[in-house]
Amino acid sequence: MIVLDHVTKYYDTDEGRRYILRDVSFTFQLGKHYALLGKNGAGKSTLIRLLAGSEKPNSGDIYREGDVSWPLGNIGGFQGSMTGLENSEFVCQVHGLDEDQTQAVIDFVRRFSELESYFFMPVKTYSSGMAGRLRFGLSLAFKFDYYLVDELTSVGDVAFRQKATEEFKKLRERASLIFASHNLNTVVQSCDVALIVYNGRLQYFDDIKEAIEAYKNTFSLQGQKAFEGEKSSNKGNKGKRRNLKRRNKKNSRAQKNEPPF
Amino acid sequence: MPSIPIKLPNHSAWKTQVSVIWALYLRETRTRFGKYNLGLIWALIEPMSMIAVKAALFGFILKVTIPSIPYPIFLAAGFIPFRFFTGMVNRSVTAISSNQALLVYRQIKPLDPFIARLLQEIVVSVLIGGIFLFAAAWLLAAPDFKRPLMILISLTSLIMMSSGLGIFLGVLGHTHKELEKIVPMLTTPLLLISCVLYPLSRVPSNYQYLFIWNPLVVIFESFRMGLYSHYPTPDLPIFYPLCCGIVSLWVGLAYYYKKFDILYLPSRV
Repeated sequence: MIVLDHVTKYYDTDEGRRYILRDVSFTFQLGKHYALLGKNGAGKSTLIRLLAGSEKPNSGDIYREGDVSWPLGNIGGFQGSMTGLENSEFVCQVHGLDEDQTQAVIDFVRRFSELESYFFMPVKTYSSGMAGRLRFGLSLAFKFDYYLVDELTSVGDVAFRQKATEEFKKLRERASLIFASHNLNTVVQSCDVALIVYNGRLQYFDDIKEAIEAYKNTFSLQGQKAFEGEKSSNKGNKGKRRNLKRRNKKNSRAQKNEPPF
Repeated sequence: MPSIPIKLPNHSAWKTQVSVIWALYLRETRTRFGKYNLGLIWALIEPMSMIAVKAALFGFILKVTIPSIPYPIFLAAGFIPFRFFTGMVNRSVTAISSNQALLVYRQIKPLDPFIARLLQEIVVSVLIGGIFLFAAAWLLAAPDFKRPLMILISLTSLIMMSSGLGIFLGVLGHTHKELEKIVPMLTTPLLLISCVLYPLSRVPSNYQYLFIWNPLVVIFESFRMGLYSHYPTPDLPIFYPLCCGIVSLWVGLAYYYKKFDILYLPSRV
């Protein structure tokens, strides 16, 4: 169980105070898989970092029962000038594992990530896919009750994706996912309930399909507005049609049946 | 061999803190010295060669002599703490930015990189200092350690001052990147006004009171006095640097807690 109790989070920027969450209360239950939906900048990543405990709320409290993972995303988590091996060792030490356990994690990560000799090279020499493999492998080695996933998309090539998808299915059985993503298709596959982060609030949906409908409605409404803005800028009918086509193409790419990673 | 996935151990806060500092300490050592052949040896060779060059220049060529202490030992007793101070301050400015990616782990707080770097500077300085002490005892005049409290007070105030100032500048440097350039520019000339190369007793007596306003002068001089009880020096306000240390540590930590939130955000430069 992760409990948000009247949580408020803001950042003081040069442009004034920016609220990410305003007096939000919510309880995440073990066993459910949560999707976090929201526009860019709505506060999904901040919410994930708050749940992970990497950041503290400005007011209110967060209680955690059970082990919560660090935020798994496309960036962060590794020191670029250390090798994959050293980074794995570092993460084990930070989590307080003893030497035997650290060795076991390293063996597992090395086998799983298939980085071969890159495992002994600095992480800054990795491609994003390779870093993603290391990141995913490392998170699988720990037994967390909640996995916080923030748009973890780049996990290597086709062969590795297959393996990752299988591991992900197993992971789903042993832990709760809290999954922030813009890829609605993967969200439907891996989550069963959803939260829409909007305007500093959380809107809970018991049914993921319903949530996606609601999300798409507000989303396409904004898309419509942007589209009308384009129309008024003297682009003419042809441009409008081309834009429409481009938009459809983009959508169909997003709809394609892709594995969670 | 334990099986994967591994359940996290349920350690106390203290044990977690210790393992975090240890992990960060290893990480600092790896990235600072790990890339060189001979690694840590370089951390010792570099300041030792500096002292050797300066000792040769001032001691043998300019024939500077210090009553009751061999010049190389006098120089080392000032230069090693000086190097500790500038090293800690300069490296603190980048402490957060070079560990930003690791702050995603909730066990690591932005203060921990400072502690790890402080520990590393202490280890390096103690190693160099130890080597010099041995060399001094073997070849020249062994220190008599007749005033151990003076050594304790001066080193305590040095550690408090450099870490307080370091934390303050590190937090400020998170939003003001130019500090990374300015701070080393300011710390280098300190060498000339901090009685590292010459003793306070050589400063004209009507200017000595000005020098004593610099807490580093008092620290180095009282440290030398602690080592060699017959080292001649004017009266020193030995509690003045201690007060400076307490104040700067307080200011540094207070500023850290005030700015705690923004330290997690990637700096905007």
